[in-house]
Amino acid sequence: MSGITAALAQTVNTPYTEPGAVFVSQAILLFGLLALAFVALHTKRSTLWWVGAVVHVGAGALLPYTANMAGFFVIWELVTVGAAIVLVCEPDADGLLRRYLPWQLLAAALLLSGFALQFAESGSIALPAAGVTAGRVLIGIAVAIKAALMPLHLWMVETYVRVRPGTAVILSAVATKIGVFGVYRLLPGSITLEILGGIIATVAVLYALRQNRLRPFLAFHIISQVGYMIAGVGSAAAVAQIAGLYHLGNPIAYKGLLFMVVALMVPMTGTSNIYSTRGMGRRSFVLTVAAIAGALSISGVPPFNGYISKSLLQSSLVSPVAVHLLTIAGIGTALSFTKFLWHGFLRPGPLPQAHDVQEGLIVKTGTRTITAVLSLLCLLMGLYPRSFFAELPVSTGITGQSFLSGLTWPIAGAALFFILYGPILRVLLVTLPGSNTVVSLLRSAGTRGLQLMQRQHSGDIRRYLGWAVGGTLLLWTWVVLAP
Amino acid sequence: MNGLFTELPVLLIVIPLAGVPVLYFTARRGLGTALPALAVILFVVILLSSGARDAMHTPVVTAAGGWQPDLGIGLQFDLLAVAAMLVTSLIVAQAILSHDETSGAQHFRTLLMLLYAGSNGLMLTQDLFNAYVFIEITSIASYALVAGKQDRGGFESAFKYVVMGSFAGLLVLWGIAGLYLTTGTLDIQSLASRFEAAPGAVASLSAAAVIAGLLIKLGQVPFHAWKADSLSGASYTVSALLSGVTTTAFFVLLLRVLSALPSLTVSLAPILTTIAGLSIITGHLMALRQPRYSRLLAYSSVAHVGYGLLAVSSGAVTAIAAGLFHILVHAIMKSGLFFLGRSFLHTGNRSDRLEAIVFPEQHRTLHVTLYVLLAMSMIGIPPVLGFTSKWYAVLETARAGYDTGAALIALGGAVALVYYLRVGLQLVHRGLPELSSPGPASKRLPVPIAGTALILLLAAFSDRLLGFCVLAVVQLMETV
Repeated sequence: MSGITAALAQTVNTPYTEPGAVFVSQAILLFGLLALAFVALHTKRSTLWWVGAVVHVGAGALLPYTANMAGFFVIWELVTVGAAIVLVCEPDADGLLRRYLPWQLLAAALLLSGFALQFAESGSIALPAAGVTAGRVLIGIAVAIKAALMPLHLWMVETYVRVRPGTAVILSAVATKIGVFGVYRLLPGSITLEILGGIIATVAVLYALRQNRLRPFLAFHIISQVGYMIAGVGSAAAVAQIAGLYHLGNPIAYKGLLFMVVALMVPMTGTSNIYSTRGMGRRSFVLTVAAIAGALSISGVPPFNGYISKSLLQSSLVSPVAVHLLTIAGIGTALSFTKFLWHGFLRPGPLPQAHDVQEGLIVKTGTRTITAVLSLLCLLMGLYPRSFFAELPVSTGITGQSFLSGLTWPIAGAALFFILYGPILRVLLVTLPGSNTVVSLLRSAGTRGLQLMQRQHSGDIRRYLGWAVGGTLLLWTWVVLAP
Repeated sequence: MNGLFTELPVLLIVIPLAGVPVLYFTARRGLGTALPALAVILFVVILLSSGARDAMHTPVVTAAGGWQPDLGIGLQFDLLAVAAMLVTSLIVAQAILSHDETSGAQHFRTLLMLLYAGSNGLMLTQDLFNAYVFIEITSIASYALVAGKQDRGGFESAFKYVVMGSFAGLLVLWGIAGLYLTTGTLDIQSLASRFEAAPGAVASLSAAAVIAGLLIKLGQVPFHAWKADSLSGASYTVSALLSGVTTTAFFVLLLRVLSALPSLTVSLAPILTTIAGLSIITGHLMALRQPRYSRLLAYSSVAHVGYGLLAVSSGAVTAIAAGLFHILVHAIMKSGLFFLGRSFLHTGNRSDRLEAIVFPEQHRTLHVTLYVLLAMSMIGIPPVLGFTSKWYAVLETARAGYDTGAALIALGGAVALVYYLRVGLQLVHRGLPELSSPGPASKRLPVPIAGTALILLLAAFSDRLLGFCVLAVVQLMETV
């Protein structure tokens, strides 16, 4: 026990202040605070909810500073505790916790076990550990759960669509990001991680394209962005890691922004169906600007921040496969957000019945101010990237040439929406199994396996005796044949 | 060393054995059997603790009846025996205290004394044939205890137990005969040198037969299948004894046998680790879908003994010590969970199907707290003893070079979390229909409380306890 106390004290006394970690921490803190301010202006929440949200954001901002395994584990779990407290305050607390907690507990158990193995091997709790393979695998699964990598993403999709909109804003700012930071801090860079990131970015975009409801749509885009980050921070190339870290900061800004837009849109339009939202462009100028800024950022359109990190990633990754995958993901993202902007904001046609009057939410200017601030941030992070993260290469920035080349793929994606979206959607609906289907297939395979195992233990003593005889024969064979 | 302590190991077996007829013929029922039985245990514990200081320096070896080993019977009173017997004595005492004062109490306690004598013998003996005798004494007592419920399930369980137990006994006897034939000795210490000097197929096959027999008794895959069936037919108290006392005793004997055959242990290491790994996987996965509380706990025992076996087969001293430590801790916490199961009966419910079990209204909070602490210990969540013992098992197994095995132990906790959570949620469920005749309120709460308090308190001294186990293993290795 005293060892753990000493380890925690070390974290407090000599924090880990590598520039990448500091940047991630500041990004989480800044956007976390903006998100908290947004919720404060948006709706009324209980004191307990606020405690949970502050713990969640605070622990998330603290995590990058941890210097050793003990500190990392404790603060990592504090993030979970904060989220759990927030979820307890939600209307459907039971269902939410049932979906959220088992996965998080599993991640905690795996992380702790992985640390134990690494500690056993190296005798030190310093991070990053030069550890054994088994330990890395366990840690890998743990951070994959936390970062909601497919197919371990269900907890996130199922949680985010069930919470109230403001809560989704808070959770989206922290939870998956610390998983990505875990990949950066705990696992060594490799081509495998680059390709894995590319695959996740692409597959998640395909799933996002299939969605017709706003929040699952955004949730899958979070997963896709996490794929970009994994490709970057999981790379062995130093520049790619820096790009990955910058990309870790960017989506907190534009995903937070998009979640806020959605949180404000749903009560205004009275629906969360993408195809039924209409006319936002004519009803709220600020919201429209915010939505466009968010969509351009996530699609990697210059001069917004998404462009900086995505283009740097594309140029610095080691594996060409990962680069191509990210290009496809980029086109898909642009296509997907064109759909979002077109249906929600730009499409002409009669306005749906107004709902904002009853809700009385969006009349507050504060929330709109925050969305405006975030939109501006997305732009500034694109225009002056090195002021935000000094580690970025000197050449980073937007020139006339890069501006034009940066536009190519997003425009291709946007064009695809108007020309081919119908056929693409049909193909996706037919070929892509529902993400629930994949999981339920896995689940039923597991259940069948367990049932088979159970049927073998039928209670028939002759069979049991047969096993024992077989086992004995096996031992004997081994003894005779072994050197 | 004074006279009493040279004869000490004999007393540790003889006193409980003498208690058997005394208890049977003198007392009829009720406290009349409980108090003498407790007195026996208390006396054994006092002997243990007073002899422990001597054992700390050199193990007390007794040649019973003055016959020197090879011909006579040797008993080894060392730290290994002290550690294991303290744990089993605790569980036996808990069993006596927790048993109801019904008409079967007299038989129960008599059989319990027989089991106690047999298991003490198992942990002390240095002579292979005596080990066989003690295996049979322990087994016969266990068969009768399992059948003691006197219903269809109890008899079926006992029958299966007898069949598998007899097969195990047969293997052990055959193996001992083969070893005697080839090495000319039954004494475990002299076996060590003679086995190495005269290696041969018969000797190795015989030793493997003994090990297979012990693996049956320990319930390791593929010898494990009887365990859940036997434990689920027995009463909770008997299940607690079987998973606590007999498992510990057989594990200690396995340690003694393996340490006497170092070269065979090395060549068997791959298959022993495979068996242990399979046991961990099978035990945890089977526990996931068990419909009954006792079967679930039985399969979890398969997995936990697998942790111990894995650590032991890795061969490193600290790993063996960690394995032993985990087995001892497991005995305390698993028997605690079985004892806690007795409280379901006080709701008037005779079945232990998971959808029917629920804690009684009285002392509900206390029951829930006990369950949570015990389950935390089984899963390996700090700050309870189960966490530290498992932590050491993972750590030392990994250090011994068995990464995959260590990862399996670690992952096992994640699976265990699922099934203990499932049971826990059921236990606090209030929506069950009212039972027509709820039983009397639980009077036996102090029993699981004692075990739980131990796993909490001892957690603070984990380092020292592991240190003690390391000493015990070092001593075991040196003597051989």
